[in-house]
Amino acid sequence: MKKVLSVALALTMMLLVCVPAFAATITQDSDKSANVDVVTKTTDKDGNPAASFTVTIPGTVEIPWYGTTGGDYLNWSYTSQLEIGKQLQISLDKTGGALTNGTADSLAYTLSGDAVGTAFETGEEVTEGTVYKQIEVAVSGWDDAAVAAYSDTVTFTVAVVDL
Amino acid sequence: MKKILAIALSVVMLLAVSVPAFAADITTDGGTGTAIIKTSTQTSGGEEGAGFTVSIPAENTIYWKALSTDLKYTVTSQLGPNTGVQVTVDDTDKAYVMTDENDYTLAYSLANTTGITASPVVNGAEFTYTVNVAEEAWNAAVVSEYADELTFTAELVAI
Amino acid sequence: MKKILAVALALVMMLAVCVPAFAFGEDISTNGGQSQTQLQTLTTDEEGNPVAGFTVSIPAAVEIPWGGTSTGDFLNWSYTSKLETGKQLSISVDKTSGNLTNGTDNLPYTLTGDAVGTAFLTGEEVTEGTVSKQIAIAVTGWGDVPVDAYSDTVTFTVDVVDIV
Repeated sequence: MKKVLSVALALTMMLLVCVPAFAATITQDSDKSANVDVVTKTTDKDGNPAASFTVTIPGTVEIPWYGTTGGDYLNWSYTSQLEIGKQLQISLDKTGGALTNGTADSLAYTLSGDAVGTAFETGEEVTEGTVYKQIEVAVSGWDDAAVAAYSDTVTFTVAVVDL
Repeated sequence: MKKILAIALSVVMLLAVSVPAFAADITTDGGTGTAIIKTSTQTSGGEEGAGFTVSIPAENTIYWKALSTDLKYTVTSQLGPNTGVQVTVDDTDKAYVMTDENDYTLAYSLANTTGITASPVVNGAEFTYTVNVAEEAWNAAVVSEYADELTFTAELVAI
Repeated sequence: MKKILAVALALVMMLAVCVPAFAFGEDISTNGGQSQTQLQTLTTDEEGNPVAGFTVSIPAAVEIPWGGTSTGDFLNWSYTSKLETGKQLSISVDKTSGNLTNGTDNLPYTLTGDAVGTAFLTGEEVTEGTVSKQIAIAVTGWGDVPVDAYSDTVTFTVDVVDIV
């Protein structure tokens, strides 16, 4: 008798556990309408965060000797879909420098444009498509330098900050 | 004192072939270019480098009763290739008569009147011309100092 | 135990030596993320023409007045260069002396100056403007030959060589 009761109790308890928790229940005896909230998550069905952004920069900017007549540019872009109250902040690690070729020779250059000197803030959580930006690269001293491939590295840093 | 007879050289100007001389630029590794070094026939002062001088002594003495007297003149020249100087001696008035201050006369003749340099470049080349006075002429002449003017003519000739 | 520690230490040291290779131009998509762009010059201009080059200018002819010039006669030449790193020009003349000739007679001459006898090395990749040079020409025997136009040819050769 004890064993049967135990099993019945266990079964009852299991069934109780398996009963889904409903936000509202409408039965023949209850009100015929009930309100339920539908809420989005900030993650997808796999649990990945939905907020994202992409800042795209070129691997290399090639500058012909003596420069380009219309100017030489480092073209970059960004898209963002961030949480409310957030924006991107993009900055460069320098405003200019020296292109070198491994010898004592160098070619001085300056950068100008958004994100140079002062960090660029996108001002919005969500961009309308891709936003394109340009940084002008001005190289000087062409006549004084031996002909070779001179190079330098520019580092972009991106942070998500409050609007 | 030598009376130097400087004959002006009439120069036949060679038509200067006026080819503009452009500089040559070498712009390739291992490239070559040539420059021609050449002389001008004019000096740095713009004068013709070629020229000559016929030098005739101021005094040409014929001694009394000398039947034949050799007189000399010299030529110095630096001319163009295959060019020499021809000097011709002749009596100016072609009378071949020497006269004194009283117009007494003494006839003579000339020999070896033409000399031609053997090379374009000669330095003091000596030439001789001869004044002949016949014995009869001497014997008939009043003792005096007779003179006559000779003309030396120089011209460039091909040699 | 010692062996295991030793291998582990070796591995740690190797990893420390291994400099992470930056991949330029990677998209940045993480908060605080970084990426690099490389600025690089080409050795051609915007039309694609190679920039490295040089010019050695020599006169087509040097005319010497008869008897020479009192202050000297000269063959004036010049050069400019914009070469690749570690390169220079080597300029040489094919003779130190010779004879000016008119086909029959000769006027001997000697040359003195840079590039005569020994090749002239410019010593630099890039010249500051045009560098002017002179070769002195000394002609003798003016009084010994007929007055005429005498001539000879001098050949310049230019090579690009390493700066040593």
